[in-house]
Amino acid sequence: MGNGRRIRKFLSLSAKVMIGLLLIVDVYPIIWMFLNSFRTNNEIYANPIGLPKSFDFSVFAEAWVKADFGRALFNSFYIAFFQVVIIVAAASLSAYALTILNVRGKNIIYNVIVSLQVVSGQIILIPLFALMRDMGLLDHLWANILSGAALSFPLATMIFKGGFQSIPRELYESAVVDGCSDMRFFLKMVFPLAKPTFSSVVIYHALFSWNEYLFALTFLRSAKNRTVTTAIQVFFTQWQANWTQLFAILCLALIPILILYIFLQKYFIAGMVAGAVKG
Amino acid sequence: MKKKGVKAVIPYLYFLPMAILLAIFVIYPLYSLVATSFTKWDGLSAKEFIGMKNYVKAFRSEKFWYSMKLTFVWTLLSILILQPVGVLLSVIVEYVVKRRRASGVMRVLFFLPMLMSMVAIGLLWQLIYNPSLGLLTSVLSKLNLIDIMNPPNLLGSRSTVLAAAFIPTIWQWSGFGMILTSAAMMSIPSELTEAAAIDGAGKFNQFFRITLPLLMPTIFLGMTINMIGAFKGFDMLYAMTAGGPANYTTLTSIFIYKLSFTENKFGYACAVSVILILIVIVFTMIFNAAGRKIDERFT
Repeated sequence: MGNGRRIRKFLSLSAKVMIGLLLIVDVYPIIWMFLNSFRTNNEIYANPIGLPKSFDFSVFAEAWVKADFGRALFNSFYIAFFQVVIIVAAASLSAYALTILNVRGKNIIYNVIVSLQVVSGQIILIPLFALMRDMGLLDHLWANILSGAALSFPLATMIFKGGFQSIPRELYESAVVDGCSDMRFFLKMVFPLAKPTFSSVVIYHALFSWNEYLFALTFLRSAKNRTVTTAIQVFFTQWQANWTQLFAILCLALIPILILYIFLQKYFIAGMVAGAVKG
Repeated sequence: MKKKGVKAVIPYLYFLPMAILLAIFVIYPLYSLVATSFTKWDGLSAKEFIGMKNYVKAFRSEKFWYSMKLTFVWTLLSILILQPVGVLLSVIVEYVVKRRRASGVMRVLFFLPMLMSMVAIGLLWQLIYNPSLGLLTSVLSKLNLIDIMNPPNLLGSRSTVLAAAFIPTIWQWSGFGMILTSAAMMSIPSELTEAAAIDGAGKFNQFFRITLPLLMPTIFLGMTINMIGAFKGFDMLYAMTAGGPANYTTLTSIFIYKLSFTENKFGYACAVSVILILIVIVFTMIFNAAGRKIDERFT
């Protein structure tokens, strides 16, 4: 009797230790990144895993200036903002027509859109690059906005379609009888009823756009058009030996998203799940 | 009559913005990709039609096959490891940890790496793996597991680079697998497990007999997502190793990028892209079919 209890206690204790270790392994790289951004290069060279002696925030300011980080933040924000606006507007209208309006050939249209999901940015990178050059969009933020939005449409349409399906069609039919136009029904009924779906699409695609790298690397060649991802990558090649600042720039890249995540945690997770499940 | 015709067209206008952008930025490039794959093109001068030569070249190229092999291994690792680790984390967070506050905090922490861009992750892990100043060297030498005078360069040697490069992927994507699994767990009606508990089934049996089978479609979905992600695996590896050392981490996607943007072999690179998308399509079809089977079987 006593033995069984002792075994159980031992098991629960060892489980706790294991979980604790797992958490440390999981979170420590990020803690290490933050701590070392407050330590001088000499301190890091002497001992890479020590604690900072003081918290001097000027290193962030220095890295910010050297990387022209304000501009990179603005560029990333500009791309994500307009991309998400286009994705939400175009994909929600299509999904609305696919689920609620009377459209013939719905299935065919939907299948065509969905099948385009196998096309990734990587696959069509070369022809897109040539197209951007021919259109004079190379090294222009709108190259990334438009191509990124187009490639996101299939997934976004699927997410919207899933969200709109729970809106009863009788609602639409009776509204039509009352003389409500399709567009009005969309704005006054569909949008408020499907708000969680809209927020999922916004979060998922904003995060995706914010972290995008390949198009930024390929289309946006000049320094003034760097996004956060390309800016930190260039910073790493330019300041290789300055470890304090390498850590600082990584922190700077994470902090904006971290702040949003803290406030919008529930929506972040819901958005990621919706993006995955409908994909 | 005419008015009716116009009215029938109106709903199709809702597709217009999407259709235009898809046509210009997805469908036309796709066509152009296939067309260019039959040409010799340096990116600037006129394309020269050379038939199947690019494809023949690819199939005879050792580098191409090596990149394919690497892509397969990378994809297989992604399918087999990422989602199961996610399920494990989810079980810990939802089952093993009893206090709700604690599991809430853990959920947030395990998900944290998902917020970083894959580029930032590649760069951070480059620092972690640094043989002289990295986190790993420091910790292992403090534990007396390695000789500080002769630390291993995990990203620099052929035998370790692939495993070392894959670990950050686990670090990031297991958090995603966890939230996916946890969301599915929450949608399982609690009556099912409660009924089993009344019938005398222990926690262990409840999980393996009831919860896990119901989670199968979600687990498989996670695997499919990781499969697709693996084929896209470019950002992190390119930032961390740029395909090196030599070409030991040159996935097909990195191979294509280097062919086009450093060697200016655009026609050849297009042919390799066409081969890659065909493989992705086959894999996607297999996974979709299998997914439907699993859905039928477990729900």
